[in-house]
Amino acid sequence: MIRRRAAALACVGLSLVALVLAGRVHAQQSATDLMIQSRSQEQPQPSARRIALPPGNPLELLRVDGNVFMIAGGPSNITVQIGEEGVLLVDAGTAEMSDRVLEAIHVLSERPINYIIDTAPDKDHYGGNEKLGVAGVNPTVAPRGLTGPGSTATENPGGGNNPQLLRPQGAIVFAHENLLHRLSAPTGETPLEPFALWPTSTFFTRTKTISFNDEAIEMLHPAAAHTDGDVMVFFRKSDVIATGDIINTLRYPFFDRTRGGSIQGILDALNDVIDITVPRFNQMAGTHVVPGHGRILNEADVVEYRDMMTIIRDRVKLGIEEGKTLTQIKAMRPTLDYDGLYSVPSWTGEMVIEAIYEELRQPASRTPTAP
Amino acid sequence: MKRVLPFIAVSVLLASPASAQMDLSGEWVAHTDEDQPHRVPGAELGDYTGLPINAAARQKADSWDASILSQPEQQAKPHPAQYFMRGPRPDVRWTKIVDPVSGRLIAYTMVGTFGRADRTIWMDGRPHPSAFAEHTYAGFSTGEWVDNALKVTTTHMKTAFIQRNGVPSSYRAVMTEFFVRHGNNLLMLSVVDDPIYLEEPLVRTQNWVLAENQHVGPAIPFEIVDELADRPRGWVPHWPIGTRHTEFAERFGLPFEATRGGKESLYPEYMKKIEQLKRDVSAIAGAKAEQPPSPPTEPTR
Repeated sequence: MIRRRAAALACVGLSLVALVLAGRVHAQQSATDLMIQSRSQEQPQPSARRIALPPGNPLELLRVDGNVFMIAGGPSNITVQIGEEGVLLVDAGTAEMSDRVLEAIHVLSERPINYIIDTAPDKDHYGGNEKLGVAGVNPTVAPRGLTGPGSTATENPGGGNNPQLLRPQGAIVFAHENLLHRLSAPTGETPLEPFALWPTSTFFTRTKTISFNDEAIEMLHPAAAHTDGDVMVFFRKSDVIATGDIINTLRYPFFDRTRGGSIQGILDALNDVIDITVPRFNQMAGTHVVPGHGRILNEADVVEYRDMMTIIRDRVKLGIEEGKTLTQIKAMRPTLDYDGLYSVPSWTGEMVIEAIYEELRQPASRTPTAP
Repeated sequence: MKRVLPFIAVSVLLASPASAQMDLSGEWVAHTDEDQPHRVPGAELGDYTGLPINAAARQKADSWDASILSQPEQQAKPHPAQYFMRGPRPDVRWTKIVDPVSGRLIAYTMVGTFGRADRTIWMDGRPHPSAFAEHTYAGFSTGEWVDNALKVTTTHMKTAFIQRNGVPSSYRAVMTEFFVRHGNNLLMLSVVDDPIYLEEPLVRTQNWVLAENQHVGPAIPFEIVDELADRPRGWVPHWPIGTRHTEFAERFGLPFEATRGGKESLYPEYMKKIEQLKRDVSAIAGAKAEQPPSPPTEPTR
């Protein structure tokens, strides 16, 4: 009996020592990383380390910079800002991934989701509005039992687009007004999406700002870019900008002319991003960029992307100026040098050429929508 | 003897990695006598000789206009990992990073490349980052000893170049380097594998000598200035499709096609093709000589 107890105690002791040593090694590794980073101009690279998610969760969680993280591996990227006040999301992904997204968010913070900002009228960006929104808390509504304006929807029903009235228990969902127009419909007509997926607060101006988690946050509306309802979100203190589908590192940027997008709007928006970003040292690190799809970027990557689209646009433009037909311009293969990186079946280099050609020839014409 | 044999075997097994692993830390001065014109002045416009590039890379390189270096965003770019070990020098310092508790080698750092995209070569077995992680000019490098060579695998590099005349390398490239120390000499063999822009892996070598009187100084930031007052927003200079940069071929008396690179041009048999191309060019020139003269061809924007 004594021998068993001694063995058990020894096991517990060894486990404790192992735990302490494991923690110590982890701490030492972090210290070593910091030591290297302080010597190197290229570092830091916060996203180089994966943040562990619960087993079975197929998503990836990466730190971008400051208080900002990225959930990747789903149909679109979701940007997460955390802090003492709560959680803010840029984009909500699809409804199918919402449970996994909530799991990932809980790895970072136990605080509620207070805000969601939709960047584009595409379901892979707003599809999770309902589930994530309902899981969150409206920061402008006082908790039950407390007095004050908007303590319940009945006491202070508000009016019009008042978020307290629409979703009193959930997070506020911001979007550009044109996104709401795309999802909703006039009374009596069938909307594209049910009410629960609509944003709860919209704006029609070029910018909208809020302060959250001790950080100034700018919502920027690039006119006529991917669509006419796009939003980019700049986290001033963390020095991160989430661009939505203005940038997609997995394919050419999709400018949907049927929904108010344009190649010129894409180029203008990319130049806006370059104006905002500041490298830390010799065109390295500094402001980080979270695209709608794909990997984390900094200014140099955005410049490469902007240069690519400018060059392709110029090649098509020159072909038109030389009197070439669309077929002749396609035969020049203006996207050959970029197709290996960015041409995908749903939005090929040829489709990009056609869309640019149509825009340059007939600015008001319409092009097919990519799936 | 039977009792001793296992100990000898274990000792030999344990000793062999230690004897193969050389300390690479120190200051190393580069030898740039190999391919000096390509490295120090830099390759001429349109010179793709010795590069196993494909048609996509050729088109991107032909479009490259040196004026793009006047873009404010391009002026302070460092040389990228795919190129900096074979650029002008680099004289570098390798430093060991040792875990203060276990004494284990955690990493080597290497500093001194142009623009100071300083490298860290992780030796602690950590995995490479997610495909969604940021790509950098230095890339993400891990190292392991293979016999007497330090094998370094680098991923997460930026879309950049493998030669300073616009020959591209994509962010999907993977670079494998082997560093071997022979006394005070350090040899590197690098292999860049790029599924987007190369037909075959690009293989290059480089040498350094230990330099006890060298000290790589601090990293200096490059200043960005406005070089052009009338530069419009979003200005991206480039040569149009179809531009033929023929100056290099003309200067060295080579057929233009022989300057275009490609995997075929890497092998000795290509010399025969160059001779054939020369004969073809002579035949065309002979035929043209019988016709009235035409103005010289120059690149046009």
